[in-house]
Amino acid sequence: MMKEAKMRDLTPDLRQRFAAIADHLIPACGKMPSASSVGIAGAVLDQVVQARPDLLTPIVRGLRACEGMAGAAAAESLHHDDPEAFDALSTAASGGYLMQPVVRELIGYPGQERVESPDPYATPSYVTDGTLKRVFDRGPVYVPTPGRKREAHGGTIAKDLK
Amino acid sequence: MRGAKWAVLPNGGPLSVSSIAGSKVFAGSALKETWGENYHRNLEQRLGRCMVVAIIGEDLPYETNRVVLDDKLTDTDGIPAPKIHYRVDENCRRLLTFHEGKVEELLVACGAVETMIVHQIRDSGWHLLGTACMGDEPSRSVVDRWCRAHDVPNLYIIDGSVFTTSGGVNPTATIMSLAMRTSRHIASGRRDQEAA
Repeated sequence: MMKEAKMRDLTPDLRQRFAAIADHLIPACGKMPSASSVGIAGAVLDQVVQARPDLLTPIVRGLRACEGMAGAAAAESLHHDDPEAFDALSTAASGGYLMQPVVRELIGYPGQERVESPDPYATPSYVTDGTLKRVFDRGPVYVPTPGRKREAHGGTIAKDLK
Repeated sequence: MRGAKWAVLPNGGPLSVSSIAGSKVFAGSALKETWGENYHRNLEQRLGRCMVVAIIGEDLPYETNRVVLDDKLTDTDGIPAPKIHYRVDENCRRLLTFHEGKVEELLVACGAVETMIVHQIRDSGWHLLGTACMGDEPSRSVVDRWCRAHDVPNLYIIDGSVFTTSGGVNPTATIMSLAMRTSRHIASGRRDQEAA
């Protein structure tokens, strides 16, 4: 088993391999940029690994195993032979990609935002705006409890509904 | 089979278009189904347009599912650690499969263009219930209907461990109701309380 990797293990060569694999996973397409064009293998990768240090060891292991391979072949090889490394690489690539403001702008995702908490004592709008009116009008509907008489139930039996 | 609850949840941010709660639900057998140009297609199709329906199924009590003392593992004082024996039984599988079919029917009727089923999500919360089961019969239960231990007259157990099944819904409201009911019972019978 490989010992725990350190940030310094991400050599320029391994970062280049990471960029090639990331571009195979997230290529340029229509208005969307490729992973490498948003700097995926540089500061972005550092930022991802700082947030998810558990990804570093499988990433380094996977990249070392792909020496001499093109991005597509490396991705396919890891997907088949080392799913844990593939998951780490793909999570880092997509996570880093989606952290970039240019990407967020293009997909319309602003990121985590503070949302005002609704008043817990207020009557929910779906009760007052008529959304549930036909349910209130219809009344309760039951599936009979085994062993109890129909008369014991206070509403319509489900299978009697037309 | 018995009851279950459906909980409707949002799918989360853009990372969730390729994985939900570590389930790899969208990971097909071929890499290209999730990645490459399909990654962008999936982002456009799924982000903000996905819903998750989580099924909380009723787990029935089985004597084979239990907590015992570990015969090897101990803490630093040599006290045996608890060892949990738990297996998802055939009834649970059938119950979940039934509800999966019904949920899929609902989603398709709502206009879903794709549906995915994860039979069980590993990275999920589990309600820890049972092991001090409530019942009238001391040979088959731990506490009586007032949460009092059959074996110790002034021991009351008030939490989810007295449940006879998992109930098929979130348990907190029931636990709180049992706590209030038991507390009132203890208070009203305090003059007659036996000591062990």
